[in-house]
Amino acid sequence: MGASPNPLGLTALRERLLIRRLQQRDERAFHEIVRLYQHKVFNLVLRMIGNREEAEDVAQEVFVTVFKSIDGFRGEAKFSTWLYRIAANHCKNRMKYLGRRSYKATGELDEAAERELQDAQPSAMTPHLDGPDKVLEGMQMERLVQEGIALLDEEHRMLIVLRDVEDLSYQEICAITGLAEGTVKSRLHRARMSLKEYLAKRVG
Amino acid sequence: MATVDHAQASELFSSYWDEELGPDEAARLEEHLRSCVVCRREYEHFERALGAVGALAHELAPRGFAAGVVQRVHKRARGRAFASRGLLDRLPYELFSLLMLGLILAIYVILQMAQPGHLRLP
Ligand SMILES: [Zn+2]
Repeated sequence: MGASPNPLGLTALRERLLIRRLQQRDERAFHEIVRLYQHKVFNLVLRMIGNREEAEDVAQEVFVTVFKSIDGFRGEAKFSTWLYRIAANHCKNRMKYLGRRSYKATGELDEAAERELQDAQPSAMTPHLDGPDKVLEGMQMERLVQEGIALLDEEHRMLIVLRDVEDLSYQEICAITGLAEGTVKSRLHRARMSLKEYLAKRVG
Repeated sequence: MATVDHAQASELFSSYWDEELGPDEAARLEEHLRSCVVCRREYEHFERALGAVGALAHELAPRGFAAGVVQRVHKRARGRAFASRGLLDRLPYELFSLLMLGLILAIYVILQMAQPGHLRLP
């Protein structure tokens, strides 16, 4: 199946060659891999962490780990799955660290209370806007969604980002998170319902 | 054919959204959504929320990201991370050290010249 394309349209064969060169510590191959996957990884991390500066730092660390542990990649999983797993672990660790420092994930929101999702009320924090039509578009909706995601607990956040932002299959998500498919589906459903609740209260 | 009751309906939202319900079950849910205002409204919110999540912009990594990563790897491994390459491919540290040596020598010579007494033979 040497010609089946990966999510980036790279043929499996070309990807395998790149990885082999990377395993031989070829700098150009590494640069190429970073260049190919940087946007995917950055976006994933940004949606998880909610802060650009932190996201850039974490995404860079993801690739440093890729370089350090590429010998451990045996090709049983897809490279992108392996890479996402590393990214997911880095996100988890950073969120724990930031949580300990009671960091505010979006810079505006208190990350702590997922409770708030259950009884979200329109508040001064997010201006309540009258016409849903107006809100549904553009930056404000995007900000609300990002805030809603930031209020989810770490695992729910990860599942929403992998499935609904990155559009990965359930099979891939299971491989990345190590969870069984039924567990992924039921937890993702909870996460989606929480997010729905949060947005419905704010957008109407 | 059993109908979907009010309590079950919202439990099926995700599978319905993912198009993973069988045709019968999907039809039963649709039937309930047609007849129950509350569930219909809930599903509209659900759809709108997931639509908005899917519409989030795919943000690009900042400029210079890849170069930054390579630099990080270099720094951590003190320059021994990658297989060695030709002199032209990388920062020529050997050249820098030669230049520094030359510079020190030049300074030494200039200092000597500035104090001609030291050079004069008795
Ligand atoms: Zn109902």
